[in-house]
Amino acid sequence: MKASIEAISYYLPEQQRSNEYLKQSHPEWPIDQIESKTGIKNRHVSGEAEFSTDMAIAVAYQLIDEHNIDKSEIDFILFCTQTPKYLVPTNACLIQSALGLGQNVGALDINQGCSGYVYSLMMAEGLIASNRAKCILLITADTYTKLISDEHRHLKTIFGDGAAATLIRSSEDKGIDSFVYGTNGNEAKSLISKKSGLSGLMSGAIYEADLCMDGSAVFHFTLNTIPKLVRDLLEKSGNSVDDVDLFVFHQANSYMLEHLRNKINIPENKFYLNLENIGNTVSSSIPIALYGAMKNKHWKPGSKVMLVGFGVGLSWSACIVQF
Amino acid sequence: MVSKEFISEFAQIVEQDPKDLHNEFDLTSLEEWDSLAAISVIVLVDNYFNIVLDSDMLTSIKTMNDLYGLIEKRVA
Repeated sequence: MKASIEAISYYLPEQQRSNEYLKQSHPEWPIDQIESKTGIKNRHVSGEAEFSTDMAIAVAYQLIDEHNIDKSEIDFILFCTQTPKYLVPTNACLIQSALGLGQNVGALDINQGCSGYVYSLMMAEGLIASNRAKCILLITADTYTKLISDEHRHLKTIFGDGAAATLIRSSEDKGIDSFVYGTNGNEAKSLISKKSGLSGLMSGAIYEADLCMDGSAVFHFTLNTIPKLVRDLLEKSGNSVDDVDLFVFHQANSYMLEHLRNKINIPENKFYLNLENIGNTVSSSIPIALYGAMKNKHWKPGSKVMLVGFGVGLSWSACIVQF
Repeated sequence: MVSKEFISEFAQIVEQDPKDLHNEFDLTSLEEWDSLAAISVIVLVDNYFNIVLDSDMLTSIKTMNDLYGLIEKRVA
């Protein structure tokens, strides 16, 4: 049995931060120059009392409404986040309750970031292929902006909050396959928030956002790892660049993505970018881009799409989706 | 081993006249020599030599000669 992506919806918080807005708090800063590198002009920021789990519930309802989904068919919830509202209990259990789903539903949180969407698809595919589930609601949601201190202007330009919901069903003929993945935990320090878990809660100090990123180290990792990841996946799946209709990479920043595209020799019209008004939404960036690409007719039923996630961990994963 | 074109593109990144970028030119004296410039130089070197320079090493160099040394070591 294959696992097929049947529907996607996404949600962005109401509050927005434009480059003009950021310029006001950092007037001496050449933000236009930064914009030419990141390709990001605007990003959405969750409200003070709005957490990933709340956005997850909102986007799940949106998916159900937008695609007329009979929610009683859902038999498993996967919730991928690195900024859960609670460490205890499992946030997917709260989502099951909020959606009014039955008690026979499985629910699990997955902690993974920029590679998290593809990793979660891999878990969903495994559940379906092993016949443990038939209709999986995969939600990705993160509020990285809550991890970023007000002084950290570089990070403020890059990250935005957002959520996406994907419905994955068992299918006879089309689906997700040929996963390639990897990990380099030795470089975890390149993108880390040391106070984000119990170590921060137990410190006795008032919480202070402390996400820090060694941008050039992450860049270095990406250029060294992703071209090979794409080549390995093409080889594993028996495809060439020509066979793939669309490439959707984690929407990190346009400068890096453009360089990767050139290095891998992907034609411009097969490479989807949509971070200008959204920013880097971590595990939701790929499904949000997929949704935009579908609306803009860059893919349609029958298309073969490659998804490539990479970042925090450091972690990477890629797969081919036959729609 | 580096071409005129390479130096000219490098000069654009650090906003200098290519003629001034002699071997002993002190990059650390430039305000433009920051982490953003380092990222652009990593891309430039990757485009010309198909090697990805280590960012820590790149930000620790002082002169143009040091940069050429880094590239040479990796190409060899």
